Amino acid sequence: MNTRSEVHPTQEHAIACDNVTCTYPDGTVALTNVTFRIPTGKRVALIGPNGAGKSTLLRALVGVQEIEGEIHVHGWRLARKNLRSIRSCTGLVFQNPDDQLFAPTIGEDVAFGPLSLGLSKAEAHERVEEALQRVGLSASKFRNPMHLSFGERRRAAIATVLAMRPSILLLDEPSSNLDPLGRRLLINWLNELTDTTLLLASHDLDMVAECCEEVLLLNQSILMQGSARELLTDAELLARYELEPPLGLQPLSFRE
Amino acid sequence: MASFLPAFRYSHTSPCDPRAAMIVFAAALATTLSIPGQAHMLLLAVILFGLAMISGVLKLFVRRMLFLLPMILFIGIFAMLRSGEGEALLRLWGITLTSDTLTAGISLQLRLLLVAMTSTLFIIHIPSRDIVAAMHSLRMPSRIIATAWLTERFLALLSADVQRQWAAVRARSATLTRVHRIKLATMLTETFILRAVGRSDRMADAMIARGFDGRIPIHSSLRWTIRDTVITLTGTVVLLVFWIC
Repeated sequence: MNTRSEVHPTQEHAIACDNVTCTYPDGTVALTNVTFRIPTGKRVALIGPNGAGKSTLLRALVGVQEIEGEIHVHGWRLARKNLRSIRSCTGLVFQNPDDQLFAPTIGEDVAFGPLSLGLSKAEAHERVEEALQRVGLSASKFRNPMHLSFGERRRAAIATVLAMRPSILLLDEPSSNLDPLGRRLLINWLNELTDTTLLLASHDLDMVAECCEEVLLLNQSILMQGSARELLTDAELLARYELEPPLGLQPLSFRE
Repeated sequence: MASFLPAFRYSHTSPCDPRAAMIVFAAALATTLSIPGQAHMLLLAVILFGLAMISGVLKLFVRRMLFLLPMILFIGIFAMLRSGEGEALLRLWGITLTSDTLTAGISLQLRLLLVAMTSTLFIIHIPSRDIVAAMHSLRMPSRIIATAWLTERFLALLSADVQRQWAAVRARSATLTRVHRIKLATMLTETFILRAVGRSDRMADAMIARGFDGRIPIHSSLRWTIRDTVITLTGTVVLLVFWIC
């Protein structure tokens, strides 16, 4: 296995992307020369209009999307020989929980990751219990994922990644289709994760404001990287990319 | 550790050690494929039906068999259309149905029916998690184990998708006639196949992202008891006697 110091000098960065380009087989360009750095422990949001390439970028970071360019995760270069190391420290929650849940029961699904990483059954079991408890689904571990509500499936999908105890958490639109309470629980839980690097792709800029200190504005390439306070209050810039400032920063107007 | 094991079971448990079930299942499959005579096959079908009734899974068993029956019938009819020797029974659109091809077609249908019944009973009673553990314990190649597990999982997910898609269609349609249903089903098949391909890609990505390397993780710890020995011996002896007589 490669040691971090051997492979790349950017080990202080949890994620380092250099000139990442992705073109789909039908010719659609999803990403063009994407370059950015995320320091270890930083909480960063990835925002941009629909089709900006947010999901593609997240998928590329765990090596399930073919790209050109260089990606380093905790100093490991994204290459076949390092994939196991990268995937053991990186957890990706997909946009659609139905793509992530495939086992006959929630418990088995959550155990899939830890067992695939070679953990013992006892340790995997412990992690399953802890992850399900964190997302409030302890009572559902024997249930079939297909019989849960969308919000519950979303929480179960998060648990599948939590059980792997990743040091980098990649979340793709985690608050979509969650009820207000579920969303609030998610925000609280994300804010409790103090020792994890977070990259959160979302249109929910209120959540972004509460959870992230830094923002990356993506539209095929990185257009802007700055503090959340600075970027999320720039209404003109956000409007240019089909986004709106967080509702919490806007005056409420009621229809009379 | 011992107290931990039962807690790690996340769905219903097998009625016996899955290895015992697999041995009996393999013996049953071999019998169905080599059993001589249609009367024997019919008798075995009745026995399998009785087993489903006794084990309390009759409704589920019948539902799954109803899904498989049209395919079995179609394959049997296709076999009947081959040219064969013997007395000509029927001539239609240039195709001659002879006594030989009719017998061969019926025989094939009965064998397929028995294979379907045996497999359905096995799958209903033994959770996929335990089947994986048994295959692993029987030293089967991990590629075969992964293929079997993924096929079962993927079919389960797809059937749920079909149900959702069909419900969405019905919610937007007034009362559908039989002809409309067939037209719609044909139209949806194309959409469904495209979706299934996309779904399988995304599912594979999600599995790979969580460290999947071609080996399905083992959840169950298997323990062979005297009861399993009795089940294995009884099952194989009964099938052997059935085959000899």
